[in-house]
Amino acid sequence: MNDNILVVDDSEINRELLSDILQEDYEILTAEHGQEAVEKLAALEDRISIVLLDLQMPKLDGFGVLAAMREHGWLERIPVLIITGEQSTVVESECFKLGVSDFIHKPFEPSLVRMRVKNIVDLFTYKKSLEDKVATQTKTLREQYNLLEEQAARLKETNIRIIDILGMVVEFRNLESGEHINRVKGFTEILAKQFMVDFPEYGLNDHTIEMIVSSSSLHDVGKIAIPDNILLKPGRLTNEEFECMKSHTTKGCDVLNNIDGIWEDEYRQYAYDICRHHHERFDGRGYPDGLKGDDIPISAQLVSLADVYDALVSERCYKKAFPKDEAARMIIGGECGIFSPKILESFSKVTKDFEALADNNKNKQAQ
Amino acid sequence: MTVKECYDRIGGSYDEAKQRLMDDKRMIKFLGMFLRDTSFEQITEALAKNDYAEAFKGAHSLKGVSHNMAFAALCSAVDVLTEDLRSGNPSADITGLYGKTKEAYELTVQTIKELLDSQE
Repeated sequence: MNDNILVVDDSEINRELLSDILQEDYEILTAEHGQEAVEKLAALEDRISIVLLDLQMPKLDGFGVLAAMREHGWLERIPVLIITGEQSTVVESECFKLGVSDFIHKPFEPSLVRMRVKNIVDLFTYKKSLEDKVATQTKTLREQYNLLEEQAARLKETNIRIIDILGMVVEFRNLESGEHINRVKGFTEILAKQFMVDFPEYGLNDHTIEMIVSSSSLHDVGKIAIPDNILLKPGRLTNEEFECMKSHTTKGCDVLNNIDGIWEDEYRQYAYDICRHHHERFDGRGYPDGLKGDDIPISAQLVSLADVYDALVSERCYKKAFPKDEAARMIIGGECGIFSPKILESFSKVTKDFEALADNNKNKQAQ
Repeated sequence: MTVKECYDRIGGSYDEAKQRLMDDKRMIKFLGMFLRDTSFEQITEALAKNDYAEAFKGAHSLKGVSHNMAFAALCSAVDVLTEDLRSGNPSADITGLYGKTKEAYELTVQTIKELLDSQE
């Protein structure tokens, strides 16, 4: 089908001349004034390829038509050629500023009119085909992006499930703490969120905190490799037995290394750091590696405090539960583990939240 | 009367018009259209009311049409009138300039009518 041209001119002679010149290659529509032009554009906008527009017309002049075309967004898709008898550069430059593509001068020179119209129509057709192509590609990209997001979400779920399953295995063997893992998760989250605000230089964000919290449930996974007679011994451990007990940190890493390839590296790294280093001390006197200060991964430092707090406020076969304010005081005072002053600073701000979580869990257990 | 004789009598360029309109039959069709053009009436009515902006529009329009029709004599008369009206403050000679345009316009219209009559 031929392209449609809308010829807008109040002079019948001009309209007919242009129609004559262009009717071989185009379907011609005409309008006698600006208002009629706007009506035809509104009715047929998608089917009009180009507008030839006179400036001086009754009812609505050419500038009015241009304004309406801009307002309706037609000017971006439909090129406009101005029909003019002027040689004035001022008028032409004014028209270009208004978004006009080119000019047709009176008297009409048939071959020039045909070429100008063809050039502009071709240009806009090409422009439109490029825009369509970009739109199609953008749509494809968006679909692929959504697919990737879905896959990422599924992968994350898988990671969390792996971690939870492993954590549950530990729970089954570790008679003393049914809810320990969940509480440590909760304490870790409270502490990490405060720490993120207090010390942004550590680069924590919602995503990393989510991974740390999730991975925290694996901190004792190595305990599945500790013999029952040591893991479940009610009395005090001998030095030898304690050394074996301490190996749950490195043995946990062995377990994690053996399930390599199933989960994302980022998760695995956090789980590994937490498993191995949650018994390190800030002064370098912890185990297994004796790491000091911030050589201890921040994830392990956070989980370590959460783990110690939970041990203090929980009743164990070898000790009673400490009151919660007492537990917080002992941690801050350095009586139970040595922590980074920064972590203690954040901890001291959230002790109330820790207490609330501990109470909440106790209520749950009572129910 | 032939179309060429008509153009010669009104001081137009037959060759230029023919180049644009291809053949005599088409030219006759457009000459007929020119008789329906109201630009000249627009000038006359506007000048009677001293509405120079409106008169300029009419003159500008008549100039474009006569240019397209290759009515050289009318075109040059109306061109002078158009430029005189453009600023909105026409010169003292506006009546004279209008008169010259009127003269050329009436000759053109009269001749075209004769041509069309002779065709029937």
